[in-house]
Amino acid sequence: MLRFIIQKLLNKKWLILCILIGNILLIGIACCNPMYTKAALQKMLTKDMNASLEEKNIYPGTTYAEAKLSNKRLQTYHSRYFTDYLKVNDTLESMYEIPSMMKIQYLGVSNKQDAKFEVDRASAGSSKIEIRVASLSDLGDHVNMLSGSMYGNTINADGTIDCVVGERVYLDNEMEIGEVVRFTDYKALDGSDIRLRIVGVFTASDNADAYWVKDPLNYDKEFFIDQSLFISLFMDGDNISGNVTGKWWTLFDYTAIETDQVTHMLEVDELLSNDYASGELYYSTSMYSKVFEEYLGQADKVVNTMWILQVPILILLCVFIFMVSNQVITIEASEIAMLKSRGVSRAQLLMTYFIQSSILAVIALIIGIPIGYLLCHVFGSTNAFMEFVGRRALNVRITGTSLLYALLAAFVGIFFMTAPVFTYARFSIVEQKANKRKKKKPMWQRMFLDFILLGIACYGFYNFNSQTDLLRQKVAQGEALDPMLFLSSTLFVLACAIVFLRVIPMLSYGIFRIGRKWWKPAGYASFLQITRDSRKQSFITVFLVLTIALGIFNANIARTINENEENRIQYDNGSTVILEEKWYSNETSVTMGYATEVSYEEPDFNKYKELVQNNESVQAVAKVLTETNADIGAGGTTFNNVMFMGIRTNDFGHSAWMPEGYTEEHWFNTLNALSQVPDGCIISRNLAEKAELEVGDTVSVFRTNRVKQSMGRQAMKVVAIVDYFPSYENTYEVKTDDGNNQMADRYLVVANLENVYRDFPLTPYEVWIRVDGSTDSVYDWISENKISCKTFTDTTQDIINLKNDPYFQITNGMLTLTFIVVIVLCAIGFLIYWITSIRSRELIFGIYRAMGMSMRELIQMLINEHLFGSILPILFGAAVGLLASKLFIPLISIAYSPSIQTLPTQIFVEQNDMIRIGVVLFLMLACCIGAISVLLSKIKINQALKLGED
Amino acid sequence: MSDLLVVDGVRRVFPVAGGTFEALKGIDIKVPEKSLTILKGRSGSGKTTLLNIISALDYPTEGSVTLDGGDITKMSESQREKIRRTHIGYIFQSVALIPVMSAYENVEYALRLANYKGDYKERVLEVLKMVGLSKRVSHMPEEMSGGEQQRVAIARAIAHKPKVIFADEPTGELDSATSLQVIGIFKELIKKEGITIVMTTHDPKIMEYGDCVFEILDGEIISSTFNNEKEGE
Repeated sequence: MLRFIIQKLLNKKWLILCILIGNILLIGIACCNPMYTKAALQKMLTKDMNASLEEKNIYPGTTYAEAKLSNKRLQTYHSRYFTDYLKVNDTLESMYEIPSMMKIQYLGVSNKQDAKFEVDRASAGSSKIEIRVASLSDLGDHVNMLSGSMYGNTINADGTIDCVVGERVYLDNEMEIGEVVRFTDYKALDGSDIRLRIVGVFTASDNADAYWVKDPLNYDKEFFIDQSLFISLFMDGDNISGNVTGKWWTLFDYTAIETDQVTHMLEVDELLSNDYASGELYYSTSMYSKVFEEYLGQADKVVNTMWILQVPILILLCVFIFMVSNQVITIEASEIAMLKSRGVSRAQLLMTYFIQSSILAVIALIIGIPIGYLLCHVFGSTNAFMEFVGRRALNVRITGTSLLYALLAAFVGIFFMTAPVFTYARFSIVEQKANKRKKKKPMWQRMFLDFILLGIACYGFYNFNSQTDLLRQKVAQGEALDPMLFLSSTLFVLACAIVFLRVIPMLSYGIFRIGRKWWKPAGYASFLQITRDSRKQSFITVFLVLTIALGIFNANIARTINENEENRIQYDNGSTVILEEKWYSNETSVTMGYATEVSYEEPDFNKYKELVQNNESVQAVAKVLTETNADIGAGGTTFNNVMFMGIRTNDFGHSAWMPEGYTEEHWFNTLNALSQVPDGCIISRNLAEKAELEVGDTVSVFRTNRVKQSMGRQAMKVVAIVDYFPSYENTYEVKTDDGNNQMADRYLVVANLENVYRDFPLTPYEVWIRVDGSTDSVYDWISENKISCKTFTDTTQDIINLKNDPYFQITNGMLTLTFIVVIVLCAIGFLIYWITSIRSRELIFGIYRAMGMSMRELIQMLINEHLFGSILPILFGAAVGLLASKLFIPLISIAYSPSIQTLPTQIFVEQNDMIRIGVVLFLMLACCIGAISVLLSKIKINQALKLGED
Repeated sequence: MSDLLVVDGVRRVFPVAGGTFEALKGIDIKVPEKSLTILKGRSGSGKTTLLNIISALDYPTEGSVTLDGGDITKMSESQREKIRRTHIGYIFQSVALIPVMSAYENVEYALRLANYKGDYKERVLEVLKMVGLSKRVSHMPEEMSGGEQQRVAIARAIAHKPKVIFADEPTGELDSATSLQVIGIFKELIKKEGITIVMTTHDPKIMEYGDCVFEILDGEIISSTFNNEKEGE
């Protein structure tokens, strides 16, 4: 049986290879989903944690618990923490189920109220200071002694205990090494006096040491003694001297925290905070909880998006496997029928095919899983549609889930490979022959499935299109791309492709009829071939239309999403680098009341002009005054929330970034209008509408300085009204009284900087630097010139962050992958079609040749078929792709736009993308034609004709 | 009566595993004009190889074939193509109609290829009538019986008024009644259209209808028979 099956497989090696490729891709793509999402999420998590570390300077993998330990409390709470209070860190560790990187235990005595004690000092000065006796586990390993030495772990002969203090305690209390302090109202367990001798002053040995979750400078009352000594003095099992505060930091290596541990860690946090609420713990907090919560929201979005984008490819692959299997079984149909007539049962037949499919599935599994692994790396390096960069590779691992997915995919593959047999296994050889003669339209055409699908897709579009606001709202609430929306778009493309199948024979027949008299023999034959035998070509036609349409559609989605987001970032920032230098000012004196008027000292601006001259990549710089707290008076009404800008039109025009296509008029015209009227101003459309202003009207600008003093007013003449202006956001989010977010209008007034500085005092401005390419040289220049910045924005960095965002990366990767898969399937389908078509027509080619058709004419005929069978679907596919882009991209891109949309979404159709798709397709067709020509030239007439003999 | 086709010392050697196989071992035959010439022999005797060579589908290893005064073995492929288009008609054993074309179109296609000067429709209908298929004009090959298909093939072979028709086992897949019908049509065509027909067969019943019968065995002519009554005409 097995040998028979293997023989059968080898007989049709090419078709079987195609099925195998289909299965490999199916398995590869299915199993790369969990692998990739895991790797991307891990990267995202680590990145978020890094960001938190950078922002707060606290090790983000830290969880913290604090409790008061006293005899009374220990009797009240028989909790898990305190059965052995010296092992709280271990308890926490086991609760989190993650091995910790570091455990820090702080024990310190305190009284009930303020946790401080008064002591007698032997030395002069203030005789009483507030201190705590405390101990930190492993303190010795994390400190450098500034003076003196580390404490020992025994009581000295004179009864004093050695202790070390931080710099702050040392300096604040003017202490001396060797000084002894005595507690006046606190005793050890055995009732003895506590006298501490200061032996050293410490500082953190490494500022980046995660051990110092609490900065050493913040231990401003603590006199640290050895922890074991501390325990023997103050704590003995259930007997504790007074109040001891325990603080436990458990540090988990955040780079090793796995994405699937996040939920559990948050659950434990929840438990701890419940214990805190019930009073069992004095306090508990985790440094990572906020990061984790944000991460979980994002992770959902990423996983969903991955799925949504992947489903169309998976469906396509299943269809492909089914179709090729069907082709194989069509060839084997008579064999099946013969076996049936000889008494082979249907179950046996199905079993044969099931085993055959299983063999293929196993091979596909073996190859598919590594392919999936590779695909993950391809994803990680996609930068835009069909654009790859050498990014730091993701840490991709083959996980259990991915193996499970691979296995599931293999079963789905087996199903689709075996499915076509069900129909054929029904017929015996007699019925088989009878069926051959019947020429019925295919099932889906009789059922009008194509139009039904198209109808569903159109309904989907109509439905979503009428609910764009709802869609926007959902995205604002953190939802991912709507799966039904994406599916509708894919369905639309697919339905169009199938409808096209109905149209193409009519179309080609029409063309054939028009030129019937004039067609050369080759053309005549090829047209008849296409018109009368279109069904065989339907598979390849559908795939061609799909390839082109999905290629264009995907390219446009990716392009639109990326470009819009890049445009928004660039628009929102205004230029490539935006910085405000630190201006010397008397702001503090004014706030303290020492001075009344704020004055600023302008840093040298000429150095920026030199930068433009000396650095080729720096194109222009401009002084830009930006404030968001101005008011506008117009027609007796005052409008708040005005963004006020002062610019030098010429410099600004060269440095600012304003994407094209959003305004009817080029924005330079607006700048020119402003430059011609010194006291003119540009205002935003929403202000013009609200205040009923027109060009030529006058408005008053009221400015407030940074210490909230009024700077007076200035009258300006409106010279232009704009919708968009670099860095201007026309709405902003405000919190309403009930805590919800609401959008409010923000207005814009742009004036000539010279004019502004004439009437108003000098206030700090930003410097906008337009850079072409990398901004590294600007960074170098800034550090060389020791420029200290109050604010600094680098747009290129923002764009890189965008590209590294897993949400965008998955989208770009998935869209690219879909296209590549479709191309591969299309190329394979194309070859299968042509090779089987030529093989089955060898005899007919022989006849043509015998009738005197030359080889050239024969190839001419095939090229004709090719052109008609390929060019029409390609053109149609392009039309469908563009149409789908026009209809669906505005809806899909909603899922990728931020909640504040400063710029409306534009559809981007990049010519390069189209050319790229064209080139890929052309290469594919050329390869196929090459292969076909080779095949054709091998056909010898007399041998072809001999086929007819047997 | 002149000879349309003269075969002189034709040898054909095929390379086979472990050496060569000599399919034709020096054939000399002359086919008179307007005759029904039959190449007779068992399968494997070399008759189809000979037919392929004399019908300009294959080249001999040695020897010459003169068709209508020109040596086709010395011609270029494009010259041979032209001869195939205009001077020759073919009929094959298994019916070899172009499946996507109707009976009418199959015949018309031969006219197109031969660049026939004259009214296509008239000629197509004429030849289809000749083979008795006037009522089957627009049928597709798969809608016709084997005999009907073979008759379309004959119509197609003669449509462009070739000088000679080569037929390889034209009755091979037909029952004897239909076979005789086909031979009847052949005889009729020779009379009406002045065509020469060269066919192969292994069917002894058909032999008697041939004007010349050459029997081939193992690549050699072992007997040549000329029906005298024919020559007496």
